[in-house]
Amino acid sequence: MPAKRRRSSTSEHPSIQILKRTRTRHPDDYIDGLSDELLIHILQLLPLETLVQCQRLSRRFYTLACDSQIWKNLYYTRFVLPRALRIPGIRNAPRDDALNFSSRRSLWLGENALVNPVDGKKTNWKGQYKLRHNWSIGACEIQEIHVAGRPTVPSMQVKLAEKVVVTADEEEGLRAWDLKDKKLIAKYALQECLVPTCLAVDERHSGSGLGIALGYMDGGWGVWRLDTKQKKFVLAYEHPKSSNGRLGAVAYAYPYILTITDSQRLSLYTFSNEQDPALSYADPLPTPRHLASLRSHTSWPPLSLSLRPSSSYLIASITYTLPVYPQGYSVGIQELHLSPLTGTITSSRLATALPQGFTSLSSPTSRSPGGPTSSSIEYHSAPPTSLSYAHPYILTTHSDNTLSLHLCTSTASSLSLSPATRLWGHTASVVAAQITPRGKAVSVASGAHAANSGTHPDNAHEQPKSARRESYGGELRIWDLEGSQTRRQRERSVQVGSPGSGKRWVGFDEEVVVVLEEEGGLVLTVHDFT
Amino acid sequence: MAAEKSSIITLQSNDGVSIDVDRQVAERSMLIKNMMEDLGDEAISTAVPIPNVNESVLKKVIEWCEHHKNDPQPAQDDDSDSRKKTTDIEEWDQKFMQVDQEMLFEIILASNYLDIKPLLDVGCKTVANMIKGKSPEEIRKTFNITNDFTPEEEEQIRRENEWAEDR
Repeated sequence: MPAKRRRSSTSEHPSIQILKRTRTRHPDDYIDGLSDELLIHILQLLPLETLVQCQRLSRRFYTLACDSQIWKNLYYTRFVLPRALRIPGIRNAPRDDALNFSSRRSLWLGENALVNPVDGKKTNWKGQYKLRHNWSIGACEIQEIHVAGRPTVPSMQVKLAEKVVVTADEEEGLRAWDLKDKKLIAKYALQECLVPTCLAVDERHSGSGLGIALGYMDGGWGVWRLDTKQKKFVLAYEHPKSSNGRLGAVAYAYPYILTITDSQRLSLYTFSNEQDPALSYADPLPTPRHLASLRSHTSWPPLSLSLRPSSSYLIASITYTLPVYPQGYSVGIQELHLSPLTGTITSSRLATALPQGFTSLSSPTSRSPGGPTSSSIEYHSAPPTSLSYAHPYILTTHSDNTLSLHLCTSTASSLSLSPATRLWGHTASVVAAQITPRGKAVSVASGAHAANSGTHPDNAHEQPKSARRESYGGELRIWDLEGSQTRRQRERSVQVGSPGSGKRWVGFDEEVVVVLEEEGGLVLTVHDFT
Repeated sequence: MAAEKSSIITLQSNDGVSIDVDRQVAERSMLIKNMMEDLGDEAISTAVPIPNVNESVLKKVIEWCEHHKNDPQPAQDDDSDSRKKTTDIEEWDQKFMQVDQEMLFEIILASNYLDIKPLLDVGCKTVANMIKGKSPEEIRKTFNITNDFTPEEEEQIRRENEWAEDR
């Protein structure tokens, strides 16, 4: 019997009404005699440009050319297969066709969430293809959310999670913005004297909303739950101020809170108690237990704290800037392994991006030109402008228009950092960046420095005006850095036109990039790639 | 098995014409091959009716099977979409497919019914090559497709897909 191929539903495109085929058919329209299955067989042989042309032929072709199976195949061929071929060992797999797309078995490389969605909904493959396509060419729709009348000191704290942007500043307190409607959804006024200096969002905590931790100038901190359904912040716990001074960074992974002060005092707390370590979340939270305090004399800002659960223990890590005299700055990481049951620290280890046996004063030998290592040991004379850590990547931004990428290898027995890979492409001082565990990164550069840097002497005499700011102004770049450390350079960056100079912060998710910009007031610029 | 290979099968088209074919040639069709395996040798003595295919198309299909009778059989579990996404067609097949559209689509339908995957592929690739690189209006003209969209609807779809055009 002829093999019956299963075809996915075609009823998911409601924008054009599908009429019953009562229309008059041309007597020589032989192609109409083919079944849907056969037409899809033909359509999936077509390149993207022709496929979308076919959607305009007739109602029947519109439905068929939107078929999920075709787009899933296109998505696989363009976005998954090239990654698969990059991974050593897979390319030479015994069955070569194992890599070719098949509805039954294909290698999806961590994109299984799309293939088997958890919520049982069907993946809109055409939509996913379009999203990835737009990211790759940098096409997006830009909208602005006005968040404050004037810039605040210290800068407004911003985080993006689950399609919500959380902001915190002294004047307006804690606020949450919905990215779909670009509207304020929740607000919590802070007490008069509290000045937020750092913000963390617990992304694993999304069942009942988002967990939010805020650190203050006076050394105190607080924990909230953002109830996204009821659209309100629920205060869960407030920690009193402390004599250790201003908090520089905070990380939150319920039930753990990790804070660090400007004077480099690291503190770890837990909300769970020893009798019942698996206690589920409840508002308000009990008084946390203080698990550990550490003091560092080498970790300089900018730094990043993170809490990463692993199978047998919780990893608390602090990634920091490491001054290396007299050459400049490098990065280091400290990992603390905690037992999830008792919360006690079982081990602590350090790694830096410096080569082994490094002594900071023997610079002439380590700088011999031409050697393979000498080019990788590069120091920046100024500290990085920002640092983003998402295991295994550490991305730092620099005022000399570049970014540095370090790869962190953390195994049960060792911890190490690779030498820096420099990323070029920005034409202005890079002020902020964010990287994901998958190696996708977004960075922004401020335009103000470019205008003054004299790199375009021809235009130097011109008055700064809006067109000029657009061409040399703030830049947003998207990087795909996966595998760039182990194999030859593969980073690819796309510049997205983005006027405005005073960029402060950048964050992104699957669909949008959000940039905090200073333009008179503070504005959140939302770059939507859907 | 070796003796059976040389036996003759009679196929009967839907317009009542009987055509004698080598069993090996006829078994390019998975439909016929499976039928032969199920029914055994006694089936050979009676004509096999092919109700969906007329004489001229059946002859054309047999011509293709004749030329490709020594090709390796496609793997049984070969998923249709696991094949390489290319529209390259070998020269003999290209010439073979130089027929009018009515015949082209009849061959596609017949090869689908008779389950001759390689011939179905060649047919689909031929059609895909006729579509490639053409504007919607040109494609409609080529295949006499009736545009049942209003101009506004067509414009809406064009805008919907603008993202795919600027490369």
